[in-house]
Amino acid sequence: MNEPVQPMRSSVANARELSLARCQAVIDDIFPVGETGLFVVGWIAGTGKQAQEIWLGPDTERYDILRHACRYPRPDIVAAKGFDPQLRYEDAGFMVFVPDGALRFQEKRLAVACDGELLYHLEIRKMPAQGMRPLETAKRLLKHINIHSTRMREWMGRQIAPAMATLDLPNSVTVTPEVREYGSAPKQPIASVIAPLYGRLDLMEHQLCEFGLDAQFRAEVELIYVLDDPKLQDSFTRLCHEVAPLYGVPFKTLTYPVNLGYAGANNVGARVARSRHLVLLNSDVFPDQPGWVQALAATHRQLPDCGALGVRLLFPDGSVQHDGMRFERFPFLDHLWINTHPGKGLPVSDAPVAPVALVPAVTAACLWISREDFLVTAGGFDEGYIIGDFEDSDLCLKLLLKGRRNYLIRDVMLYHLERQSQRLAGAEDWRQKVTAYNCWRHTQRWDTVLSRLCGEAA
Amino acid sequence: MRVLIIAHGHPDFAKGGAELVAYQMFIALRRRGEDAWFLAAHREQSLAYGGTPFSTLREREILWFSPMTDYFLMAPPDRRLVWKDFQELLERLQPEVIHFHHYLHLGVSCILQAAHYRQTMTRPVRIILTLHEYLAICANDGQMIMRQTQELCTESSPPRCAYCFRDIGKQPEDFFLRERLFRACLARVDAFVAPSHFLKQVYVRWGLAEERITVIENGQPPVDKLLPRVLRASEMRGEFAYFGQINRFKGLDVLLEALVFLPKAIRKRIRVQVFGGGIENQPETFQQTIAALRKQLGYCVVFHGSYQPEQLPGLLAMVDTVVVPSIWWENSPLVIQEAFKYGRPVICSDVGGMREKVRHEVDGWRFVCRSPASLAEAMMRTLEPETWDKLHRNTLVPITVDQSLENHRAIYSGKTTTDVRP
Repeated sequence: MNEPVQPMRSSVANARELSLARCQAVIDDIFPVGETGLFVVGWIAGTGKQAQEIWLGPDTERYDILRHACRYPRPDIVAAKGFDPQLRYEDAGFMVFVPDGALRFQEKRLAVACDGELLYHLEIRKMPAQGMRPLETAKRLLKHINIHSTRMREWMGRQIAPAMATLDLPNSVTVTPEVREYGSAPKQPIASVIAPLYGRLDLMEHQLCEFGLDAQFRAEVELIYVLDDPKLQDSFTRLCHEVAPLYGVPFKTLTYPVNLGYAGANNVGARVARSRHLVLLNSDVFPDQPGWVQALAATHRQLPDCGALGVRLLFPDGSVQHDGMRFERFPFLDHLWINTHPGKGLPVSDAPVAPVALVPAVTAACLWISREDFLVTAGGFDEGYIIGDFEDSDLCLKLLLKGRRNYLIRDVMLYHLERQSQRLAGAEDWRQKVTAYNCWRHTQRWDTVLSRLCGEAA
Repeated sequence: MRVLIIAHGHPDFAKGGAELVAYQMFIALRRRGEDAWFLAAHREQSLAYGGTPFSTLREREILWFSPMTDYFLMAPPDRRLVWKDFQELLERLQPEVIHFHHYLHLGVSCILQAAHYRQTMTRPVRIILTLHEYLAICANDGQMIMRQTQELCTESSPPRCAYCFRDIGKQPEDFFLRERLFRACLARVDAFVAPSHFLKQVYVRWGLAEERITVIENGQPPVDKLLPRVLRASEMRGEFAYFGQINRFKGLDVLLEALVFLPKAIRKRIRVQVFGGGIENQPETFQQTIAALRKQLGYCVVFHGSYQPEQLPGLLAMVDTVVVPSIWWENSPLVIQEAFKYGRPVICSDVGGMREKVRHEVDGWRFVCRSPASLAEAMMRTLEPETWDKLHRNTLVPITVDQSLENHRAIYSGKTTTDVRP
């Protein structure tokens, strides 16, 4: 299933037809999306004098692919063999999502026509069967996208997003987690710390060791590990049994049979949490000193309308990892809004000193929020961001819209080994494309708000 | 007072200095009728039973089969060895003093478990750790030597360490986590013992509070000084000796290169005797270096292979001066104490713990670490009989095991934290 579809040269090979028509068409990729959809990527080049058409059957009810497609340049085919100097290749590329395409594709072919006359059929012999997993389909959808193109927004909006919307990506509401308890949890926790685990488990033991040093943590905090990685379930359970008694920190584990991503894992954890307050915590974040949860609780009580409360995070070398988020239009991603981190990697001695700062958004690597604000006011993390990106700024912006304020405090500091989670994200190229998609989705939702926040002229 | 001494090996099977020091303390306690127990890590499966990690070597000497695999984090492969088996042993023995001489092969988390045990006890329980090297600070076997260049290292930090380990893909974060783990475990220790001031200062710079570390030199079983070797007419004090494992950190190559620096006429009248084995486990390049030097030097170097501790006085009787040319910091090399107790001056590198053990031009000679020329000069000076006689006269009897124990007594009872000087 992972095998790429062979680029299909027109199965024509009928010289007479070709010379008459002077038209070349190739399908690079074609695959089903969701229940009924079909995604087609290819290119077509003609003389420019005749109207070209590619349609999907049945003949009685043709679906004009090129009319619905996004067109774009394909410099690669001009450079490749088979270039015909008589043909025009500008914007030869096309990509299209056909919502009922899989239903129409019974005959496994596409018709290519010139000025309304059928020239030949592109017969597709090899196509992935129905039943690709949604995440794989998402990956496939993004495969052909050049995220640096100035037409990226158009592709995302017209083709990719409608296709993504039909995917049945796992969602936390469909999940009933299995809960296990290690040690006896505090009766009335002042906060529930939710730490999702994905890809690697060893960080949990390091955190337990650290929390074990903190008597207040052991006595007053409910610690919840959410395993968002079903293939690690057995080793996870074993590890929990193995290490729990050593560090003297009671904790709870939630497991379920799918991979929800960061947003879903936190949502599951928040629903199970017993305290009225949550600390969302990455497994690669480590406190600098004991009593940090209590310090966050005290600060939260004092700050008016506090929605999300973030903390200053440091890299292991003591430089700034996170000191509040800023939003910026990014020219190399078609001017989408991205999150930036002022001062990142620079010495903390030069960073702002105000112990509390009002900020538009904070990272969820370590974030204090009331359970009600998280689940009710904001409706939890948005799980529509694939794998996980932007859900923290999305959450913070939702809170702002509901009249909450987001703060950053600097007298509580934790360490964030950010690289450790990034290493797990997998293939660089695919990861970048997912980020671009999430970024587009985030911009789509928040463009107006962010323009206003950042003082852009209307 | 029931004392449990814990070491990373039993001297019956492991000949390292720290194992020996720990065991000698246990034996001395027993000889004095104290309620002491000895627990030693053991890695040889053949002595292990099924269903338990423990076996008993002789009365009160317990072996703990602990097949450690993660030497980076000093973590046992199965944490249950710690919180279940070790805990059961503690509950059964109910020691009031748990004295770790190491956590190598055992797991640094044993200290955490000892702290849990301490918490459940109504009687006071003391956790003591003797620091025999720089393991918590340096992942390169605690040597504080840069892996790529073999330079001496003075300071650990996640970026520096990751750079040192870049060939095996370690990242700063790995060292950050390692450091946090070790700090968390060491935080539970009531008192530390350092056999040298240098080692203490290294740990103080790393962040251990000065008052938590007491310097107590390793004790030696008392012996009588040997008489000086009888010289033939106009003979010089030209019998030098190297004792101990041969590995590239011990600087045998520096010693042999120093011989090359000596005038041929001198070289004909002296000899370096090498007592110790293990060269076959060293990197190929090091073996080649040593082989080439041996060939070049001919008869003035003699390799004897490894020796048993009982042979030591006999071997020392044959030589005049002991050379300790280590190229790393060392802590308190046993061989220095042993040489002194038998009345043999010592030439050693001028770094780390060695520096404070040998008084320059008083009972020995210090040369510039890693400098064969400087060592050659030191040898030239000490082979003059008058100089040697002075050094020999000045050698002090090192602290005995019993005296060392006496110095531990205050720490065991939690009464003092001041340095005890030998």
